[in-house]
Amino acid sequence: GQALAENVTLRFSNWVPPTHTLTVDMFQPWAKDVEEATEGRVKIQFLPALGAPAAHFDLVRNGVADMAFAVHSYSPDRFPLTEFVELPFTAENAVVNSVAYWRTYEKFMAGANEHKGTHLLGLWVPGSYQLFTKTGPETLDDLDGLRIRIPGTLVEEISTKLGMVSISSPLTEAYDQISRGIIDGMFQDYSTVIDFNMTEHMPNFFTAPGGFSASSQFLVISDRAWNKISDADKAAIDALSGEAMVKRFAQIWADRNTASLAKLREAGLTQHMIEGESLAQLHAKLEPLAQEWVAKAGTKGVDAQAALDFYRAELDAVAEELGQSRN
Amino acid sequence: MIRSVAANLRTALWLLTSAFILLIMFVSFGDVTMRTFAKPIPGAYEVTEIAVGAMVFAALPIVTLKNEHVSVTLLSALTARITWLRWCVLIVSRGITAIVFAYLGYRLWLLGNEFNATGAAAIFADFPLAPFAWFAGVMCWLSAVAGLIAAPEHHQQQDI
Amino acid sequence: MTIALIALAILFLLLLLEVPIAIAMLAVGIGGFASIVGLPAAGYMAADSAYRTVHSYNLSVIPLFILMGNLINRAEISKELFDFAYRFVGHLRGGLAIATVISGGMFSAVCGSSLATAATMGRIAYPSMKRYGYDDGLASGSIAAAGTLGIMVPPSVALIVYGVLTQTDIGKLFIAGVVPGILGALLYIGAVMFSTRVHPNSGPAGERSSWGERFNALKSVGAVVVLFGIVIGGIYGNLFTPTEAAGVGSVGALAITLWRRKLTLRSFFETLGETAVMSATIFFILVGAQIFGNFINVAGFTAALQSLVAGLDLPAWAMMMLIILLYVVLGCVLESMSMLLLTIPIIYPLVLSLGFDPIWFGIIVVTLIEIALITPPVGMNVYILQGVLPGVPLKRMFAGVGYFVLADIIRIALLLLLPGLVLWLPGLM
Ligand code: NA
Ligand code: NA
Repeated sequence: GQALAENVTLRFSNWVPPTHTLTVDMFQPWAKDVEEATEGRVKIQFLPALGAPAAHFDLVRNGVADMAFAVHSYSPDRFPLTEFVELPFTAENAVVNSVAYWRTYEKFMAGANEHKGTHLLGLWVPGSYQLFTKTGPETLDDLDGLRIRIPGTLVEEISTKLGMVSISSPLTEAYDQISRGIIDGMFQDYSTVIDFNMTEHMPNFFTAPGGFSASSQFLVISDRAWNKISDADKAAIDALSGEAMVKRFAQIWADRNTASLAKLREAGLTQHMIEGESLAQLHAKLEPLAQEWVAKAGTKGVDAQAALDFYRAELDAVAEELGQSRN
Repeated sequence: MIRSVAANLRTALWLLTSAFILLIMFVSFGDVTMRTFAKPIPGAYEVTEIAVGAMVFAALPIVTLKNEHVSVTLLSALTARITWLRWCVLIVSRGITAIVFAYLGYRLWLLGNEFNATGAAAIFADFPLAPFAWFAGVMCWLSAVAGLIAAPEHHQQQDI
Repeated sequence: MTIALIALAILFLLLLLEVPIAIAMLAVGIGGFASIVGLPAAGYMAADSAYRTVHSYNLSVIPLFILMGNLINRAEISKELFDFAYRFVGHLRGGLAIATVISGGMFSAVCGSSLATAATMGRIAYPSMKRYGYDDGLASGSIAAAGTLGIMVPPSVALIVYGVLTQTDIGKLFIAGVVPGILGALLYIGAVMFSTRVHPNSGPAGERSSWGERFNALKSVGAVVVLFGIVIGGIYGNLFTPTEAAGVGSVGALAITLWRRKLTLRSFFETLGETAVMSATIFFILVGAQIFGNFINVAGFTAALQSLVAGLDLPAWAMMMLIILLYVVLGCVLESMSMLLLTIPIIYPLVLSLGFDPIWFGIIVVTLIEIALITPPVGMNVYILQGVLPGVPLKRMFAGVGYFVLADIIRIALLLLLPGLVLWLPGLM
C-alpha cells in the first residue's frame, strides 16, 4: 500500500483488568516500545473492553477496535489449526512451548489465514493446565465420575476420555462453583489458581509432564489499521512482534508460573506427580486426541501430520537453543 | 385485518416468551438437582443464555406495542393541554424509536449472517447461533412497526 | 471530551422529548460511536453488544427473581404479611403505616424489584389506611418508601446489575444488603413515628389485637420465611450460586402458589408473560447503557474525568461526599436504573482508585437509588403509586415522602461512619 508518514493512534480494546499482568507487564511496555521505535508516530490507546472477551477478534475484524488480545478457545472451532498446542504432553515451560508453537504456526498454518481481516502480531501460551481437585483421587481410575469444570472443547474431550463429568461454565463462575462444591476440580494453570485465590478449595493437584493441555492467547491488529501505518513504521513494529513478542510475553508467564508453583507448595497443596505406570496409562487414554486433531486440521488444507511432527521436534530444539528445560 | 394479525402475533409472542422463561426456570432448577447425582444437564449454561436472549427479544415487540419502555415524562405534565405540542413530542419519540429498532434489527441480521459464515455454535449443547441472531433481528423489526402503531398513552410499570 | 459533552446534551434532549431511555441511549451511543470510528463499525458494535448483553448466563437471575416475586404475588402472601404486621403494631399511632413498612420489608425478602414492592403494598395497604382516615401524604409516602426496600433486602435486581457491571460477587452483595435493609426499615418506622407525633391526626391508631389473633397471623409468614431461607440461606451457606438460587427460588415460589391453589393455567401464563415483559424492559435499558457506555469509553470521557478529579487533589472522604451529592442530584431527575447504568462505568473506577470497598460502595449506591426512587420530579415509586392510587395528587405524594428521605439520609450517614454495618455479614461467609 501507499506509505503515509502520518501519526496513527491505535485503539486497543483491553478486556483484562488494568492491573492484570497482561496489561501492566506485557501490553503497556510493548506499546511504549512501539511508540519509541516509530518515534511517536504510532501510539496505542488502551480502552476498557468494548465487548465481551470472546467477541474481541471479531471486534477488531469489524473495526470496532484497532487492536485486541484474545484467547483462541473462547471461540470454539473457529481456529482449529491452533488447537495442536492444546494437546496433552507438550511442554510446561511457557517460553519453549510458545516459541515452538509460533514457529510451527508460521511455517505450516500462516497460509491458511485463519485470522483473516487482521494481521497476527503474535500467539503464545501462558502455561500448561494441570488437574486441580478438591478431594484426592489416588489413581487415574478414581477420576471416574469426578465433576470437572471445562474451559473449552479440547479439555472436554480430555475429561470425557478420563471418565469425568464435565460442567461448562465461564471462568467468573469457577470460584463460586469450586468453593460451593458444585464441581470437584478443574484443569487450570498455576498462576490462575493463585490469582483467583482458589488454593484453599483445591488442596490437590496432579501434574503430568508437559501438562494436560494449554490455552492459546494472541494479539491482532486489523488490516484497516495496519494499512494506515507507513512501511517503515510497519517494519519497526514487526521487529517487536512475532517471535520477539512471543518470547518476551511467554517469559513473563514462565516466571510467574515458577513463582506460582512455589506459592502452591507454600500454601500446602499436595502435588501428585503422574509418572511410571500411571503415566503410561494416561498416555494410552489420551493418545487418540492427536490423531483426531490431525484428521480435523487436514481438512483445512494443511499438512497436519508434518506440522505436528515439526512442532514436537521443535519443542526439544527450542529447549536446547534457549538452554532451558522443556518442563 | 391488520389489527387481527397484530393481535394474533401478540398472542403467539406472549406464548413464545412464556415458554422461554419456563425453560430458563426448569433448566436452572434441573441442573442444580441433577448435579447432585453427578448428571448435570449438558450445556445448561448455553441453553440458559440462548433462552434468556430469545425471551427478551420475543417480548420486545410486546413491550413496544404496550408502550412500556421506561421514559422520562417530565414534559408530558407540562404539555398535557397543548395538543399540537403533544403530537410533536409523540411523532419525534415514535419516529426515533422506529428508526433505532429498524437499524438495530438490520445489524443483528448481519450479525446472524456472520455467525452463519463462521459457524458460531453453542458447543456443548450443540446448536448453531445464527438463527438466534436472525430471530433477534426480526423481533427488532417487529418492534419498529409496533413503535409506530402503539397507543399514545404511556404505561410505566416496570423497573428495578 | 467535547464530543462526549455534546452527546450528553443530545441524550438529555431526547429524554425530554420522551424517547424511551433505552432507545435514547442506543441512538446517541451508535451515533456518537459512528462519529469516531464510522457507521459500519458502530453498527457492528451495537449488534454485538445487544446480542451478548441479552444472551447472558449471569443475567438469567433477573427474570428468575422477577418471576419469583410475581408468583409470590399471585399467592396473595403480601396481604397476609400486611395483616400479620398490623396485628402487632396496628394499635400504635401511625400503626398502619408502620405495618406497611414491616410487611414491605418482608415482601422485599422474596421480591427483587422496588417498583413491584411499591405497587403491591399500594394495592394492599392503601385501602386500609383510607378506611382509618389516614392522611394521603403519610399513606402514599410510607408505601413508596417501604417499596424502596425491595432493592436493598435481597434478592435485588439493582444489586445484580451493580454486581454484573463491576464484576463484584453478587452473593456477597446480597448478604451485605441484609443489615442495611433492616436498618432502613427501622429508620422508616422512626420516620412514621416522628411524623405522626408532629401531625397527630395524620395516622390515627387502630384497634389492638389479642395474642391469639397475633399467633394465628404468624402462620401466614411461614411461606416467606421458608423461601427466603432457601434462597438467601442457600447463598449464605454456599449451597448454590445466586444464579442457581434464582432457579430454585422461582420453582419454590411456583410450588407455594400451586399449593395454595392460587394459580390457573391462564393466570400462570399471564404471570410468565408479565415477567418476560418486565425483564425485557430492564434488559433493553442494559443494552442501551452498554452501547452508550462503549461510546463514552471510545470518546475518552472516563479517562478525562479521572484526570480532572485527580487534579482536584481532595481527600477520599471529600470525594465520596461529592459522589453522594452527585447521585442525590442526578437521582432527582433520572430514572433509577438508567442512573445506575450511566454512572457506574464512570464512577466505579474512580471509587476503586480512592480505595473504597466495592461491596460497601454497592450498598451505598443502592441506598442512593432508593432515595432517587422517591425524590421529585422523577421518582419512579411515586409514579407507580399514582397508577395504583389515581385519586391522590402527585404533589401530595411527594410531600409525604419528606420524612422518609430524611430517614434515608440518616441511613447513608450511618453506613458512611460504620462500614461494618455493610461488611460484617459478608465477611463471615
Ligand atoms: Na428484595
Ligand atoms: Na428521583
